Amino acid sequence: MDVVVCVKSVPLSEQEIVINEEETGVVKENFKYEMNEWDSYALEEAVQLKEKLGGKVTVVTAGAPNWNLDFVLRECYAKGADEAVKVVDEAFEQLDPLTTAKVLAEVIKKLNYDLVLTGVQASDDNYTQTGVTLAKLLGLPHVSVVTKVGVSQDQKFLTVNQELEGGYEQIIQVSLPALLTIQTGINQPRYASLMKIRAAMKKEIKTLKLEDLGFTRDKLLGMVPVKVERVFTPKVEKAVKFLKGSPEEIAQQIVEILKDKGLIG
Amino acid sequence: MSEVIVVAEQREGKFRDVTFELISKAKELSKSSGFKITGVILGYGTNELAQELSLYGLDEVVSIEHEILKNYSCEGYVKALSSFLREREPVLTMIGHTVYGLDYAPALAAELNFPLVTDCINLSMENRKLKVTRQMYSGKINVEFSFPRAEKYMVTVRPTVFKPAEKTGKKSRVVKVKAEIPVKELKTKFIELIKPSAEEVDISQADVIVSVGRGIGDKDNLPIVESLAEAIGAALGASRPVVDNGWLPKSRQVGQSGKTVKPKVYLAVGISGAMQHVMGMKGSETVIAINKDPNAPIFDVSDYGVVANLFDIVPTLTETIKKIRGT
Ligand SMILES: Cc1cc2nc3c(=O)[nH]c(=O)nc-3n(C[C@H](O)[C@H](O)[C@H](O)COP(=O)(O)OP(=O)(O)OC[C@H]3O[C@@H](n4cnc5c(N)ncnc54)[C@H](O)[C@@H]3O)c2cc1C
Ligand SMILES: Nc1ncnc2c1ncn2[C@@H]1O[C@H](COP(=O)(O)O)[C@@H](O)[C@H]1O
Repeated sequence: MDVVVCVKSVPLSEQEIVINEEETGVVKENFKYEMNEWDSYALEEAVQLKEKLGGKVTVVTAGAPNWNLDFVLRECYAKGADEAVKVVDEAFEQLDPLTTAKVLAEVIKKLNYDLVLTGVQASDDNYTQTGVTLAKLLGLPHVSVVTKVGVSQDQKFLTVNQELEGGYEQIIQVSLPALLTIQTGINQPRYASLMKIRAAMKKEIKTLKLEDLGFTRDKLLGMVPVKVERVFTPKVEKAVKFLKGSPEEIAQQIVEILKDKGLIG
Repeated sequence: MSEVIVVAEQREGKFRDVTFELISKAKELSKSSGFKITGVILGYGTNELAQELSLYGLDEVVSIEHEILKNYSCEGYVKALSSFLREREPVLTMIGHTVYGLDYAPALAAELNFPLVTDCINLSMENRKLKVTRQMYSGKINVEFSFPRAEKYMVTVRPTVFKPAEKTGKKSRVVKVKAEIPVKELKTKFIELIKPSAEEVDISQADVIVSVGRGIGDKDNLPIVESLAEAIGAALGASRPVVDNGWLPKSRQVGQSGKTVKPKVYLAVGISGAMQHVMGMKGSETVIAINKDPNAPIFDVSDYGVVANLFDIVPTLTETIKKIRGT
């Protein structure tokens, strides 16, 4: 089974987020990047399918030059990917999910695949949109928020679990080729051994420019249907009172709150 | 007259709360702009549901029926809704940002060439021009978007944000539409809905919950929060990554895909406060959060906050409580 996995390079989750002076975005100068959490589960699922059924795993990423794309793709190699493709352009800083999906679709159209995997969401923009949009553009059936994948004997269809709210799930059959958006917890992503990390450093990364896919930066930016009006700090739902002091003093204040509520004597 | 379409969400013959939240926001938008509001319900044998929906002060309820829609089917929804929306050409289509919503809305929007913004927490409309607000970086910032070229819009709206609409006593007309869905061409098939299993522990009944997040760092550190929960007599809850890592069972997970809890006190330890977590605990009476990041979104829904390393605070708190209790 040949699997394509879309991985996004995202700012580290502990990164401090500061809104720029113009209130049009966030200050990205000091950002460090890593593989999106959801995509590491998608990659692991792809590698496990390959180990069981044979075939090839190709990872595809699109991003701006400073998104540490090579670092993320080498991690994919070290964890079992066979081929890595990146599309690099400044424009990716400003794209919406539809336009990003259009670029990814152009890359994936030229690859051999039985299955395309994405994450449910990217931890930076939280759109939960790119995967399903990509499926539509590729003309593939899809299932999102998948927590289990089973392959039929003849490898013509999958039986998957789709996670719903509140502990509900539904089981769906989908014919191949298909696209799944993968949810965290579906597997336990592996650690890469030092040997594999070293080997990954030597592997080739295929680099594409927008022009190789029939786009230009201006054309792409012109396709974005939305415009950022303003970026601002969320309004708080409750006015939080910060407890200050030494750990002992803070502990004492929490105890008083619990006492007030009649929860400790 | 221009129309706003609200797609109702139902599962097992019951509306999900987000349906009424969408209706109330649609009404607010139409107050200033004079839009007609139509509620759409998809299903099979949904006459009663359609009648129920017609009591919420909509201008019209459209019930789209087909056998394949008896259970949620993404392909079925996209086929049925795309032909309906093509005919109606609403200025705005509103869908809940639920798992169903995030599963079909992007495909529907791409099919119709409507611009889509997902997980909106606010919407405003002036002269038929829509602006929406959504969050990024897991709730650390809000971003307001406009749509420079569009005249029709599609949004998914975050559940629990808007106050649900109430019944008005006035009944709107109900129109039945039979959907044309080429069943033979479908590439997906619904097999089964699995309900949550009854578990040994039910944290949703507890008065106090100590909930642990990824900030705990490692399974080996769990006893630190377990001791605190034990000292208080609290149930132990967790955010998703703790459960994904297999450190605690799924029955402990608080949030959208886990439990909804409303204890007297919810103590969040090393939890950032992503909306999928907050959705499951924001009904708590009092929330206390311990997090080393002063900008963690969890503080936006907390009554008391402690900005500190949890390893400095939690053991001291446990000891203090043990002393009081004489244990
Ligand atoms: C469809 C869907 C459903 C989901 N359902 C759920 C759900 O039901 N429940 C749920 O919880 N999540 C759910 N999620 C995941 C959610 O988006 C977040 O990824 C998750 O809630 C983050 O968990 P966390 O806060 O523990 O981890 P992080 O976001 O990684 O936060 C860890 C926090 O710990 C703090 N920290 C680190 N070290 C320390 C220290 N030493 N002392 C103090 N603080 C420290 C950090 O500052 C940070 O704020 C869902 C996601 C999707 C897409
Ligand atoms: N720039 C990108 N490059 C590769 N994959 C992406 C990119 N953006 C989004 N994706 C994929 O789409 C998923 C959902 O992202 P989003 O819709 O932004 O929340 C991610 O988990 C990735 O698998």
